[in-house]
Amino acid sequence: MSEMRKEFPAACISHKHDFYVIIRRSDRTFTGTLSGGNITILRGNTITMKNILRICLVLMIIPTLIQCSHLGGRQPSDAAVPPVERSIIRVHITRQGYFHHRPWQLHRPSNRSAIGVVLSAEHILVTALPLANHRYIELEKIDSREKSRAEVMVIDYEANLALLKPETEGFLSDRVPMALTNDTREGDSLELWQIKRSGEVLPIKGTVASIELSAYPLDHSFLAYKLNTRMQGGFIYATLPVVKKNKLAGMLQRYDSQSQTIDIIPEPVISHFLADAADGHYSGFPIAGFGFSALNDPQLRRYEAIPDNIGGIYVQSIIKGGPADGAGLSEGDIVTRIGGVDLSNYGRYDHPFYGRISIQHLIRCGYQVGDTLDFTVFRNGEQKNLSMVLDHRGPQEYLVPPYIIDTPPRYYISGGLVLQELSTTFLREYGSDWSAKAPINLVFFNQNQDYLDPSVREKIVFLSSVIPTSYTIGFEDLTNLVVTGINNRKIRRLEDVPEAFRHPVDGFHKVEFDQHPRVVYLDPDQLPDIHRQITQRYGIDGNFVSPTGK
Amino acid sequence: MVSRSSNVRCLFSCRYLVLSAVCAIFAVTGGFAGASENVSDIRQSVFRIYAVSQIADYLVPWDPGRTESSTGTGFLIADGLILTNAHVASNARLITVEKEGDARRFEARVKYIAHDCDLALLELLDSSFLNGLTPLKLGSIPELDSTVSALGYPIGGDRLSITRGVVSRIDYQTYSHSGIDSHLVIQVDAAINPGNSGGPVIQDNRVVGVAFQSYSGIVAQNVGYMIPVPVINRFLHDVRDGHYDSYVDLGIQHFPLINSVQRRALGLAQGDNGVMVTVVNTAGAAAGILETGDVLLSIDGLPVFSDGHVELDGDRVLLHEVVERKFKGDTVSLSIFRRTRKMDVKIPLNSPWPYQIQANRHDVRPRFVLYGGIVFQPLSRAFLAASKTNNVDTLYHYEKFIDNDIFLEKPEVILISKVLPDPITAELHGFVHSIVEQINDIRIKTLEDVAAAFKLPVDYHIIRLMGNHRPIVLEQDAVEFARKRILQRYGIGTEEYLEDSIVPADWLEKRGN
Repeated sequence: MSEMRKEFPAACISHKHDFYVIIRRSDRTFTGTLSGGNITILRGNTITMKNILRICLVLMIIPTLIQCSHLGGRQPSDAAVPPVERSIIRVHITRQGYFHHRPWQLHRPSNRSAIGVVLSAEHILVTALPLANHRYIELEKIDSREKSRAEVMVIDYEANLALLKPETEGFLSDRVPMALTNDTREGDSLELWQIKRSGEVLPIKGTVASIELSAYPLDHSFLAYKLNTRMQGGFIYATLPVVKKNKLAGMLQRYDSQSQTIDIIPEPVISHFLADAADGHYSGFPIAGFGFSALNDPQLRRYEAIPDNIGGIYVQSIIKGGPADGAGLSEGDIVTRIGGVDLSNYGRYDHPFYGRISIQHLIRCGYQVGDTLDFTVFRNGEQKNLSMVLDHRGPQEYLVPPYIIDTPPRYYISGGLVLQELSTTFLREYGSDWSAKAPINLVFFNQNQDYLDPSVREKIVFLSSVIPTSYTIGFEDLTNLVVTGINNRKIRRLEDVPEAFRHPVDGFHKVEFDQHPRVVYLDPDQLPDIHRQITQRYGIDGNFVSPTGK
Repeated sequence: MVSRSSNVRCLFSCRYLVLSAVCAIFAVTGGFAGASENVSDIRQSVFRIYAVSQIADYLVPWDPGRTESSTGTGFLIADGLILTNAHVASNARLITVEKEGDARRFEARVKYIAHDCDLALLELLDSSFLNGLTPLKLGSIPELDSTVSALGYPIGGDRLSITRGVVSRIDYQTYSHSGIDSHLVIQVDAAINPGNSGGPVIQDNRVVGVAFQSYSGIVAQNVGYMIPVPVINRFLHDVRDGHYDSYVDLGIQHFPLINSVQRRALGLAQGDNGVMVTVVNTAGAAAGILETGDVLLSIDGLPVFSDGHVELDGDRVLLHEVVERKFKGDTVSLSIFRRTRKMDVKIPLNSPWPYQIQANRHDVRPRFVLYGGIVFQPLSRAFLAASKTNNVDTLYHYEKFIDNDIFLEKPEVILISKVLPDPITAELHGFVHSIVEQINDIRIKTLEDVAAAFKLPVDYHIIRLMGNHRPIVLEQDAVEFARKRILQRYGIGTEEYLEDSIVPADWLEKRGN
């Protein structure tokens, strides 16, 4: 078994048979298309299939993740199917997040359990969202009930994947790592491993109904398998492995009991995540940084004088400072090819296994951050080749961060005024229909942030509430007001607030808002008393400043 | 609710989704005829009103609309005129009036209608109907806890109904007919039901109110509302010149000055006087006269208390009540404190038009332009209610139209309201409910701009939208070719309706459009 443990997880070589071959050698990455027996490296070299396999075997050593030395060794073979209980493990998570509407307050601790998959002697794969705001993670072997504390090695909430590492040395030594399988196709039968309380594995069979891009829980678009099947009695675990012939095909993401469909995070996304994590520095999935629309409207095509033989997508928005912006792409350009593949008028390309899927899959899973992506645009009647360096856009790079997880919300309390930076997480606390319930001006900022002038502010600072004290009578109902200035200084981010409060104007602190009541005043001399009263009456730090830095 | 109760108009968060709450107050129309009790003379002058109205469908703006019939109540007020609610007579195509114990039905027509205070005056085509009848006399505001009787023709029977109750509360409330206007209302616990609308509420043989709305049974019981005499009198006074001008207001929002630091910072001594001016509506009367941070000390000589009330005729009422009783062309005198200086200003009052985007409008038809299978309509309360859109940009432009001065850039917010399926619109369905920024390089500020832009002699019409959208291209030739078949297929008689704009012509001229 110890040999098995050293086995190279299939994750790392999953692209071997895939359309795109990623070969990582120090910092250089080649991306190629496979056609027949030949691989065309985009840089222009052509090598044979045999060679590429050899290169794969030599180069695909992803050092920190897998201590594997002999790739030619035994596969986790069909010959000796290990007891499945030994490839999976229970993960118990105690979580405690923040109320963003009362940023000093923690939720009650709550527990969640998931089924993780052993990938190597040190790595367990689970979905990320159950780990959100984790305080304590415990692993439990299904057969022996042996336990170990675990820590998060890598977590990606956008792709909803995480790698855990047991704290107890050798904890996984009697486990059997599970390999990934990359040959899942539409129509295949997969097994969802439901785990009974007794630990018994109850495989539920289902058919892959579609393989397409789909919105993940934080609204990012990734490839997903949809499985048609029914789960009895729902499921008590946050995620479960989805298996094909004892190899991992994906992880359960969500189950819709109404339509009886199961969303699965598929092997290509998992493999990309593992490959990114392998060098010990996780960058996240890359983006190209532009929005597009279809190019099939004949009136638009005639107006733009696009010849019939040109297919592609119409660039309708560019994220400022993003990869496309840096490459000189402009609104109105027609992108005809990306990464060596032709685009349809709907932004799809021919994937050899999945058929016509969105080009986003190629950008997200065919490349890593820092890779160069070549593309061709049709502009002013001419084709032009451009290239962009792909990047990841972290949550703090947004005017309104799309999620704040594992870190406390940033806020500032002074004189009873609670000032916060707006995030989508704050808005989501208005409930499942938050975009209808939350204040419309804040939702508008959230939705239109890419089009708002970034020079005005880096973050939206707003007054979320007033903590009632004897000194602030009359201000109790002020809420959700965007702060435009304090003491005649512009507020562009939360860090500007403490500085502005150091400079009262004419003996008062003047706090200005974008709407009614427009301005309120505080007496600087009263602040210590207000802070004391808040601390005494509410047990809250009355003069709190979130630490700076991101 | 500090920020809301202090607005001049009803600025209750008029977000579309909140409208459903307002709808819980239903207009009390509907019901049947009947007769008497012991109020003899009075009941002879209380009529059953039957109206057939036509309701436009904002999703099919060219369609004349469905017809509905309803009944309400009205009463003889003076000079052969019948007072009733505006919502009884709005959009009416036929109105008939019946009196107790008379089989005949007489046709009437609207003489004056005031949608902002839900009152209307009807006149008979044949005035012989009124022979021998005595007009009812108006009383005053009844005392709290005093008894009143509501007369009318509500559901539950055919003959005149009289219900009795006491005056429970005198307050301001939104009039649901327009949905944006708040005036004085009197709450009574007499049963007021559909069909009572427009009926008199009587005390000591005088009219003390007109029954007009109530709460539906789910949220409250025995909560009926009547329009009190000051509002009725104002309406009757306004129409004396032969035309109804509507209410006027200051066009400001204000903030109570309860907080002592806020008072000191504004240069005010401790006490209970003054409110702070916060938002000055750019289209309102106070624009250019008042500023954010001004302290309003008195209005027409009446001291303003720090909660925004004044003492008027022995009652503590919102300071707006002073303005409520005025008319178009009147001025109001304010005494304000600005930074270090006390000042007196006179403000000629007007009715700020931008609020109309959030109003239920009546006796108007939906404005639209149809071009190349695309329907363009201005954003309005009626459109939002019909479309049920949850498009964030659309809702933002609706709700923040006034507060964020959106009307300066876009006096009308023009939407692609519908795309009619046709070969030339096959790829355009994703653009529905988007906001139009430009057509053929013309910045779109009103629906008239849309109509004008499409008349430009170009081969390709280019429509640019707000947000993350590609431009829409319409080929002139393709549009011309498809025009007839689209009109025929969808039974459309006219391709545009440009009347009934909320934007005053002089506003556009003044702003250099």
